[in-house]
Amino acid sequence: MTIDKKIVLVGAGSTSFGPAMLTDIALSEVLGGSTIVLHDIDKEKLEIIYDIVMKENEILKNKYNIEWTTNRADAFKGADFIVSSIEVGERFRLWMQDYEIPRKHGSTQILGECGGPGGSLHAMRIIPQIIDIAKDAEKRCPNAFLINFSNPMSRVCLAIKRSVEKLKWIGLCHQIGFMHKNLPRMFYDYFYKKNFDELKFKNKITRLKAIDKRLKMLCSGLNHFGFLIGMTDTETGQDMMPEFHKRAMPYFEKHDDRFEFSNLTFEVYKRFGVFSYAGDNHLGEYLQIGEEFTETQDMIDWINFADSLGNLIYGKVIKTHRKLQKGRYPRKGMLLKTPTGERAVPIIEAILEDRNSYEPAVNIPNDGLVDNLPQDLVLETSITVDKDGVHGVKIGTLPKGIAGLLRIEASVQDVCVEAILKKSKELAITALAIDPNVGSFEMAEKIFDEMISIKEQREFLDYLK
Amino acid sequence: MTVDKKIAFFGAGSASFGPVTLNDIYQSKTLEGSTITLIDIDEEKLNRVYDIVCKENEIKSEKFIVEKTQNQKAALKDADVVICSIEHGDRFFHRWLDHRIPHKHGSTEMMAENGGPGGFFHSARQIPTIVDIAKEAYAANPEVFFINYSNPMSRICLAIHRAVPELNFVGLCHQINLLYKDLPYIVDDSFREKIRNDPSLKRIDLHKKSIENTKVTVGGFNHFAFVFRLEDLRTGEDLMPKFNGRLMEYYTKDKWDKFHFGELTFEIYNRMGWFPYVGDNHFAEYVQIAKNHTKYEDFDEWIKMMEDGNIGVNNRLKRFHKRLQKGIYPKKGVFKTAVSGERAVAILEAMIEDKNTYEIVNIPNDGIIDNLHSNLVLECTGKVNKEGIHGIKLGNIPRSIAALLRIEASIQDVCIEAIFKESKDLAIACIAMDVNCGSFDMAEAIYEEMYELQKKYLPNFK
Repeated sequence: MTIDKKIVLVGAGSTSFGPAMLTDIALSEVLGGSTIVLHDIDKEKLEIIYDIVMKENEILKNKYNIEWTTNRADAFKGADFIVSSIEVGERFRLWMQDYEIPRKHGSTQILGECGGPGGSLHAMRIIPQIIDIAKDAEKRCPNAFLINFSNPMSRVCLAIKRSVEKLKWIGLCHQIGFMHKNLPRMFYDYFYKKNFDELKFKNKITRLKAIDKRLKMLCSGLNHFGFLIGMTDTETGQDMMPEFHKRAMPYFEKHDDRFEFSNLTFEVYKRFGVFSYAGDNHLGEYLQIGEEFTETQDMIDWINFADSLGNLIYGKVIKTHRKLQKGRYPRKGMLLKTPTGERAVPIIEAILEDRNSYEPAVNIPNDGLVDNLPQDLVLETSITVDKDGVHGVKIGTLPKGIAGLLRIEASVQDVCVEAILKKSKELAITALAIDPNVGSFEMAEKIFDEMISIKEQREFLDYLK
Repeated sequence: MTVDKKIAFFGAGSASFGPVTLNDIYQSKTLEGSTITLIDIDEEKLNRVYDIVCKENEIKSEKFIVEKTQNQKAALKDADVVICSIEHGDRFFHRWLDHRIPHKHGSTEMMAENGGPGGFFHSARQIPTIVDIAKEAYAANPEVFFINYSNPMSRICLAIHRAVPELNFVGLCHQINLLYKDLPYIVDDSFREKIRNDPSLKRIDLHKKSIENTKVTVGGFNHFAFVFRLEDLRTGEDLMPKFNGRLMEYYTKDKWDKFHFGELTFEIYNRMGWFPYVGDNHFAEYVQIAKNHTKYEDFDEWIKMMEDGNIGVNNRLKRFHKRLQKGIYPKKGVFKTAVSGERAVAILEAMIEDKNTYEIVNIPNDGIIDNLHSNLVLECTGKVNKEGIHGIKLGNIPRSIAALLRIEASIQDVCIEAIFKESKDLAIACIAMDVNCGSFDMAEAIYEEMYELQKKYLPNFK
């Protein structure tokens, strides 16, 4: 069966999602016959990706119709799906500024990507461009389904929510992957001993995969600030949370990882009784309490690691392109032969095939899913997917402790997004000032003034009047 | 008109609200004939205030029936109105601990009465006792009207609302009087002249009239609220443009006051565009921003002042009591002839007489502010009539103000949950997530030390 859908990849030249997305598309058994439009404003990078994708497509016996364009109007015309993963400016240099400048003025923020004053500035730079994309999509292809990958996810999505009316959209992040990786290992001996026969798999990897499939997580919260609310064994219907609570600390303490689950996650789990799946460096972004559990050097290491990973992928792309030009492209292609775990392609497939599939953590508007969080907020929460799109699983009331934590961040987001949509410098400074990692108008003003004094920041911030 | 109400006054020995409330009750024609039941766990204070009230009652030709008891059940039996102004444990002994110990461990809190880590412990001491009174009052009479004066106002009211959702209650605070003092001068530039030009008019009467003619619509939490609307009730004129136009002109720097309208109030006003009327020392309790605009030492001074004032009132009562025992009590009595700035009696009168007056009250957010959680108690303007108190709807308030309030609301939410569940982990979590703490280590250190010092008055945190 082939279908004839138009899938647009916005920011296709970017290393952060290009290859993964393309791998999943290449492996899809549903999307063959579709048109894939590569779109980026950076023509040079886009052409390189295009050449490689054309070659890969050739290896796939021209499964897809591949196009590229730097013109968004052309790209969006008749689009069915738009997957957007843009960044504005030189991502890692700006990120390092987002991190270091607020800290220099006394902010206690730890990462500066999605939360804290750095996260607010990141939001202020990127959101206007994304709103442009979303509004353009609503105008040119109102029936398209938009998937956003750009950070700061929660704030970007909240801004989209407040800017478009009819357009269907979601925000995706791979943070839940930590759980997919760890839960099967945590529960390995539980299933291995108890249900060995049922599992019927001989090697450990397939067994782990089988366990992952059985355990259905119920999640809710904000992006990089999400919590595991429930878990059931899909085969027996059994509530697995008591078992999780029994196993979690012994398991995670053995697998302590400063970039994954470590002391901050454990402390929040101990005090609030709910486990956050976002990882220490992400969870800590939004909280003042993050600072005492993370080392400055760890965060710089993390930003540099992300930067070098980006460079590595980019280097690989360039090398591959050179091989291609010299006619020495690997015969089997460069893309991985197993799905990456990113959820964009499975969700697109589920919509097209009306699968009614389940996704534990996707960013969508609250709209009555969680009663004790603001309704005008985008949650990272569990959903089902069918031909009508995505449907949030009703959570009801979150435990008061974590709802309290989430509402503090939700309050900052509310003002941050309002500042951006109103283009108001005054509100922007207020958003920075009320952030618990600033807590001072004076500091907020200093941070803002220094940021705007840097040319490459000013380019994206001086709309705030 | 006389009524046949029973008013049970918990914490009648309290220096802050005891004398003024009794004073106001005695000014009231509407309430004549009522039974006033005085309750206090401090027997000495109770006897003192009872003896004095009986004497005053005698002087004022037995307008009321006065009773005393230390039995909560007896006090609440058949009570129509409960007034609560209790303090669980010695007020200033604990207040100094609330103020000193979190600060010592690094908290940036300034006042520690209603907010911040100190406010957590104050809440934890007060809430179980008051919720117990509220529950028993409702059980004794589901129609009872419960008036709370105790602090931390917002958290106590929220706890009452959650524990006894059907109870008809209001929380009252006098903070608005700070603004009332200046308001006529701000909105009416000829006010000063009017007083000067017509010596037949008493300043105090003119002032009172001006306030009565102005509908002040506020919103927020207790000690954390803003003026959103001002209206001249006679002409319907919107007074906000005048207010905003003249405010900074009126409050010249020499009028700034480190306790009341000072640097913090005007910083918030200038940044956020709406006037917080609660005063620097109260607003400071809830926000990190306060650390740049207020000084910790000033709060020492403030608490000392409050403590001295408290001792002064108690000494005065002791003195009168001694005179009473010696048979030399002042013949005209010692209650004043003017009403105080407290509003309990005015509200009771407005309800009984269906007056439709406007009062600043703490009541559940029953659709009053849309962009704050509905399961909250707000300080807002309420219209008072025989049907009760009706909050004036504000719709959506500005997002930046809503955000500040929501941060405190989140802390309140967890604070009450920790107290209700007697959970040590949630108690530490609540202190840690407070923006004036922001550290689990600090929260734990504060908790451990405070718990040792105050455990006799705290819930059994496990």
